[in-house]
Amino acid sequence: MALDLRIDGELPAFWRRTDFENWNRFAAVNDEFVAIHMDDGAGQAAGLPGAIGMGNLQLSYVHMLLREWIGGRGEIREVALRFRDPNLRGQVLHVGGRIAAIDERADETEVEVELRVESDAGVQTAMGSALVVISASPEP
Amino acid sequence: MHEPMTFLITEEMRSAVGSELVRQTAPPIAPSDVRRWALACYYPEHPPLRFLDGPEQEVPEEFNPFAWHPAVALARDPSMSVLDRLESGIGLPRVATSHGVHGGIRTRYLARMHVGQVLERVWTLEGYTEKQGRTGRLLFTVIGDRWADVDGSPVRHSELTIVRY
Repeated sequence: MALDLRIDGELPAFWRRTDFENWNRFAAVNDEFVAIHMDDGAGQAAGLPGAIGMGNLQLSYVHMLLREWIGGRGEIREVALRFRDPNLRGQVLHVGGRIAAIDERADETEVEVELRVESDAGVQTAMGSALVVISASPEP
Repeated sequence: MHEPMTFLITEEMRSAVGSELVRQTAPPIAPSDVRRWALACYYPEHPPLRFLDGPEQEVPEEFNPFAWHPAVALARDPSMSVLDRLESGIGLPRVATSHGVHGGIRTRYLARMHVGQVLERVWTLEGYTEKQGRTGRLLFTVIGDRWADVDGSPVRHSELTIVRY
C-alpha cells in the first residue's frame, strides 16, 4: 500500500512507559552508565527532579517511528532532535510526527517530518525534524 | 563588533575550536551487538526480525558501533565527564561546570551500516556558546562527529550539543 503523503498528515504514533527497565537496557548497549540515568539522588544533585532517561534512547524512538512509517519504501536521510524537558521515571512518552513538507521529484519524494516526543501531561521532552526519501520504485 | 561578555568560555577554549578531540576505529559490527541494540531500544516490544538475525541482518540507522570502545571504557574517570576528559586531552583546563546533559543532535546519513563493517570516527570541537539559564550560566559545546568506512567512504555526519552547567 502506498504511503499517504499529505501536508499535516500524522505518522502512526507509539508510546512507551519509561523507567529504569528501559534505561538500564539502553545503558548496557550504548555504554551509557551515567549517574543521572541510574540514580534519583544523582539526578537531584544535578538539579533535576530525579533520574532521567537518555536523550539517545529518545533518538532511537524517533528512528523507530520513521522506520515503521517508511516500511521499506525509502530511507532516513537526516534526523535532528533537540532535548527539552527531562524524561522522568514513570513518564509515558508519546512519539509522533507530522508531515511538514513534500518535494516530489522524478525518482523519489523527499518528505520533511516534524518530530515530537511528549509525555502524557503534555511535557515536551524532545522535538525536531527528519528528512525522509520515499522511493518511486514499486512497493516492496 | 563588541564581543558579548562570557563567564565560562575562555580565550584558550576559543582558540581550541577546530581541534580534533578523538579519532577511533570501532571493532567490526557484530551481529550480536546489533541484536542486543534492537532488543534494548524496542523494549518492551519485539524489534523487527530483520535486526535480530540472519544473513541479511540489517543495522538500525542510529546504532552506535563505538559503544564500549576500549579506549573510552578503560580510560573512564568517574570524576570527569567524557567531554571534560576529551578537552583535557587537548590541553584545556577543566571548565567551571559541575553537570552536563545531552542537548541535541543533528545527523545526516550518507550510507547504511552493515554487519562486519569497520568504521572510523573523528570528533572535532566545533564551537562554544553560553547563556544565562534559570539557575546559572549554561555552556553549550558543539562537537562534530564524522563516521566513515575504513576505505574512506562517508557513513554519517553529526553535530552533538552538550549542555554543561
